[in-house]
Parts: sequence; structure tokens; C-alpha cells
Amino acid sequence: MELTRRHFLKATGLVGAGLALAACAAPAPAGDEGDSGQAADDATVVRFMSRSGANIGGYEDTLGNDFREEFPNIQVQVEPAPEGWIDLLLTQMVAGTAPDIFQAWGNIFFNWTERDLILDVQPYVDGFMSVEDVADFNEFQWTGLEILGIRAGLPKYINLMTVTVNKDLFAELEVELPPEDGDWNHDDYAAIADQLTQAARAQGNEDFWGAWYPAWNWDRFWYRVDMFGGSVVDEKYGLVCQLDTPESQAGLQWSWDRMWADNTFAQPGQVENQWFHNVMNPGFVAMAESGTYPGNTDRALGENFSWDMRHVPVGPTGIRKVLGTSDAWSITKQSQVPDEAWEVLNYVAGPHFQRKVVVGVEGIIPVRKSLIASFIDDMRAQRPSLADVRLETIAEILDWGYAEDSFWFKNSNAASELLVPALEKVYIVGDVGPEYLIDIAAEITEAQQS
Amino acid sequence: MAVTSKASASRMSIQARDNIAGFLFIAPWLIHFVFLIAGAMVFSMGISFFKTDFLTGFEFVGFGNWRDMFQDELFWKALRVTSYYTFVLVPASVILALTIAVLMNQKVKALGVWRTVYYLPSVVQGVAVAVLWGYVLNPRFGLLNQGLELIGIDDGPRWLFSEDWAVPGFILMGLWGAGGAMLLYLAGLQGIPTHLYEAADLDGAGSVRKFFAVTIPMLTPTIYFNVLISIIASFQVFTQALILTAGGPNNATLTLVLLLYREGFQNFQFGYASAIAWGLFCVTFIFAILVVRTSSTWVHYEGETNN
Repeated sequence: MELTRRHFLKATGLVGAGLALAACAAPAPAGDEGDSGQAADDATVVRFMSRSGANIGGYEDTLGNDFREEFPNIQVQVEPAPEGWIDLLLTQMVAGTAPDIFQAWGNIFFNWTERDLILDVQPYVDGFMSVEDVADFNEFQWTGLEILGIRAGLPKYINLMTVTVNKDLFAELEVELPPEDGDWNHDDYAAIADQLTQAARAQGNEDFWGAWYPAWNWDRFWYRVDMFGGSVVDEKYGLVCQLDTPESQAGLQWSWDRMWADNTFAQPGQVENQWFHNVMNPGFVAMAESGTYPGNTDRALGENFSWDMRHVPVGPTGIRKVLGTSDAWSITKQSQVPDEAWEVLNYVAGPHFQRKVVVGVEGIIPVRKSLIASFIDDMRAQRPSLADVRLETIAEILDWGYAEDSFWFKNSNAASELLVPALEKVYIVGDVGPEYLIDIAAEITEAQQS
Repeated sequence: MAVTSKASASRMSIQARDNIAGFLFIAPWLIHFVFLIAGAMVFSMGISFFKTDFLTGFEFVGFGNWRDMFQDELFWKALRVTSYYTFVLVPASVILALTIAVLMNQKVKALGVWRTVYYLPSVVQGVAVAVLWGYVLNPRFGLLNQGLELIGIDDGPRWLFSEDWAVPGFILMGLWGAGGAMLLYLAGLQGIPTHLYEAADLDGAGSVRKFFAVTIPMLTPTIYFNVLISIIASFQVFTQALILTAGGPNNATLTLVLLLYREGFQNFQFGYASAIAWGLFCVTFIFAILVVRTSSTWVHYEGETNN
């Protein structure tokens, strides 16, 4: 039979349509390796979503070897978190195909706990963890993970707010560094920022400011309010926004004055508003108040200048407070293998994994109190340049107990919808002062009632 | 047997066979459209009448979500922001793309290089463009304000850090991709019959007259296509708002798609988000219809007679 062009086109069309139909059909079940359940060797598969990027190898090695040795009946399948993982994970939860374990933080836990998507691990804690084991976690993280009456997970790592300093710039501008022991207050902080800025101006440098602090950030502005004796909300899951009180206003005003009155702290539009490494690396500021990631920061900044960390200064009320994050691993409510997932969860929050992977591979602060001393030694062994960085500050923050979890409204989404734009207007745009937040506070309170 | 099959095949007309072949060719797209687009649209229309987070159930609220949308200040703000973006970007983009196309249509040296230079930005899309423009628009160190400084404007706009200048910043970002439309205009320009220009020359028309009396009318089908597509695309602006400003500062760049994303994926109001999606569809549809309906008054097709 002669093959005409028409025959060929028809056949191609049919094959294409067939392929399209096949593609639209339900996918064949992935092999045993692809789903939670039984692996080929009869071990139970636990799917673990990792947000560790390039460090995922450390997870695969440790969970594939060390963990498997201890729990031969459980096989952990480590899956990298895809771009846009929050939306995708939510979709997977709706579809019933989510991994068993994932890593997230406060507001995600809050939203997902409200919708019953997260497994309460408190019964496992009660059943399988000793009092000493629980006491080895830091109080602020342990209580921070009690969300809407459940325990949302076990902590992954600690992030604490400190003041990162560029020692080279301090030396160059002949300004004394803030004290190592944390014996300084907000007047000192403002004075040092001012000295740095003026010294740079005297040298003809107009692209430099003493410090940078992301007061426009929901997570970062509140502890300064607390240090001035105010508070954002009346209680945990409270209904009354208290940003209108004189104490709260004083804290908000201090931050605003530094950026928009004396401009000794950089305005976001003068540098940038997202990541303190990007602000410090080009030498725009000599101090940045932000998170503490020793390994990452040493890699990013250490090659360019000599850096160090300091406690945030004490507030005028004598209170010193910073955000201590409660980033954690959680088990999805839909997990078909919750007992095995708990074993994995307990393992990754345990001392071996924390020291080997969280510290050893990721270079971040472990969640176990008992590891803090070795963490400092381990970090310095990994990166000798950290010998000049006062990592003891981290141990002191945890020891002094001034880190706290973020604030929570009863309806945090409604509060956020009003407060985030208002913070941006005050601190990013800067055309109004913190008094703008007095009316916003009333609106937030009203939104909580509805 | 062969005779029977040949006879049954011949019963089908050539037209019918061509139609079947045509439908088979478009079957993949058709299946995609019916199941993944039209199906999803119908579903989204349905859930716009429910209060649902997809997780804890569906509560029928009738037009409640629609009523909430019309009473929601953020919806109106997002509509204003999106409309501002669209109705500045679309005409500006047409003018810029057409200008470049006219220049590219001249006998200039290294024409191929110039065409590539202008077209290249339009093939870079999404997050990469947003991140790049984040640097370009930095008020102090960005390329744009540095350029403004060179022409004597020392205190340039604060762009993404200003409520007034953030959307114009997005518009500049949108104009960067005008090369795609430029290519279409260029094709249109090269398709204009030279005898029309010769006739205009005989009538004593100058360059400007020829441009407005010959070039523009002959290009109106291309302009029409570009305007329609650009309006639809501009109303869907999202990536730069999500990546660069998250809708800020103070919701100055809160676009409709960003609002529906927030309501759906952050606030779990999928019913309400669907109502916003349909609100966006209606707004886009109205403007698209306006363009289509008015096109008979300003779009000219070659050989068309005005009776």
C-alpha cells in the first residue's frame, strides 16, 4: 500500500492524540520506592521533604546509612523541596500525596494546624521521650511549637537575632566595637551608629550608614517593641493589638528615628530590604541586626572582611529580647506511617543527627542544649576562621533565656493583612511615622472580633 | 474485502475527511483545553459560590463571596493597580514597539544585530527578569537612577520603595519586553505594498503624512492583535509583584492575581479567590470586547471596502 502524505499526517495525528490521552490518564503507581509504605526489602518507606538545597547529600547519607542501621525496618526517602514548595505541599495534602515529613515554621504551622493538616506529636512525646530528653530542648522553641493545642513538630535548628559587625570597618572608621558581654543599651547603639556614619561622611563616603535593621519585617520588629515595655498583642492568640500604647510607640519610634530622622541606620531604599549579607558585603553598613547562621555567614562575609557577632542591646526598660525561631520538622496528618515517621522525626531532632548534619553539614545552631558547647568547637574545627568570631554569644543568649517565639493573634492572617502594609508604609516608604500604627492597631483589634 | 473498505472510504467526502484529520491534529490541545482549562474554569465558577479551604469542607454561600469581593477595599485597590499598569503599559508598549520596528525597517547598518538586541529581552521571562530589574531599579545603586544622574536628575525616584513609583517601575519592566511586539510590527511593515507609498509620493505626501495615512492604517490589524493580547496579559501581571515587592510597599503593587493567590494559598479562602479570578475574567473580558467591538472603526484590512 502506498503511503501518501495524507496517510502519514493522519497516522501522526492519531498517534499524537493517543499519546495525549495516555498522558491525561491517571499515572501508574510509582514503584515501592515512590510511595510511603513498603519498600522492596519490606522496610517501611517514610518520605522526607528536605529544604536543605545543596546540603541534601548529608541528609541522604545519614538517613540512608546511620539511621537505617539503627532502624533497619524503616527506609527514609529524602525528596528535595521543589520551588514553590508551600503551595505544592498544600496541594499534595489536598490530593493525599504529600510526603510524611516536611520542614516549616510558625505561620505555616499555625495555618495548617487550623486546618488539621499536621499530626499532633504530643502523644509520641509523652510515650517515647524522657523528661531529660525534653528538657534538652530550649524552652522558647518547645513552647513555640505548641500551636492551637497541639505539638506541631520537633525543632530543626535555632535562629537567633544578633548584631553582626564588620570589624574592619569599625577599625577603619576608628569607632569602638560594641561590648562583647552585651553590656550596652539603645542609646549606645544609636551613638555607635551615629559615630560610624559621621566618620564615613568625614571621609567623603556618602554610601555608608552605621547599621541596618529590618523593622518593616513582621518577624523582626516586635521584639524591639517589647524591649521598650510595649507589646504587639495582649496575649498569645490575643484579640487586642497594643501597638497604640506609649511604650509600644516608643519602641517603634526608636527604629523609625534611626532610619528616617537621623538616618544612621540605612533606609531600605538606600541599600536593600531583604538579606543582610547583601547589605554588609559591599560595605554599606558596619552593623546588621539579623539572623545567626555561623557557617553560611562566614562563607558569605568572612572572605571579604573580618566579622563578629554581638548581643542586641538592652532596652530602656531593662528588657532584652530577640526573636528565636521555631523552625521545625512536622508529620503530615495524612501520613499512613505515623509511627515510623515519628521515629525519623525523633532521630533528626536527636543529638546524633543534629551534630552530624545540622551542625556538621549545614553549619547552623543545633536545637539541643547539650550540643551547644560542642557546636562551637565543631564550627571552629570546620571553619578555623570562626576562631575570631565570638560564637559564645549564641550560648549566652540561650543561657540567659532572652530569645522568644514571635507573637500570635487569634486571627493572624487578618492581622497580617493590615499590619504588614502598615509596617512597609512606616519603615520602607517612611512618609509617615509610627503614629500611623495607632489607627491600624484599632483596625487590627476590630478585625479580630469579626 | 479491499473493495468494500474502499467503497466505505469513498462514501466520506473529502471535506469530512479533512475535518476529521483537522480535529485529530488539534485533539491534544482540545483535550488539554477541555479537561485542564475549561474544566478547571467551570469548577472554579462552582466553588466561587462556596466557602471552602478544600480541607475542612464546603459551605454554600451563594453570592456571598462575590458580595464580599465588591465590598473588599483590597479588591478595588488591586483593580486600580492592575488597571493603571495595563492602561499605561499597553499604549506605551505599542508606541515603543512600533517606533523600534519603524527604525528597524530602515536601511541601517548591522540590522540583524539591532533586531537581535531588541528582540533578545523578550525571550527572557519571569523570575529572571524580575530579579534583574530589582537591581536596575535600586534607587541608589541601580542602573536606571545612575543613568538619570548622568542627565542631571540627581535625586531619582525610589521606584520599588515608593508607593507612587513602584507601578511605573513595573511598567518599565514590561516595556523591556517590547521586542516581541516589535518583530510583529516589522513583519507587518514589510508586508505593506510599496505601490501605496508610490501613490502617496505622486500625491505629494511627505514622510509624516505617509506614516499616518499609509503605514499606520495598514498596520492596524497587527496593532489590533497586539493590543488585545497585551491587555489580556497585562491584567494577569503577577511574577514581578510576587518576587520583587510581595505587593508592597503598602499594597502599592498588589495586583489582582497576587490578591487571589494570597486569598487562596495564604488565607485558604479558595471560594473567595475563585470569585476574584472570575472578577478578573469579567474585567478582562469587558475590555477585550470593547477592543473587538471598536475594531471595525479603526482596523483596516487590505482590500476591504467601506460600504
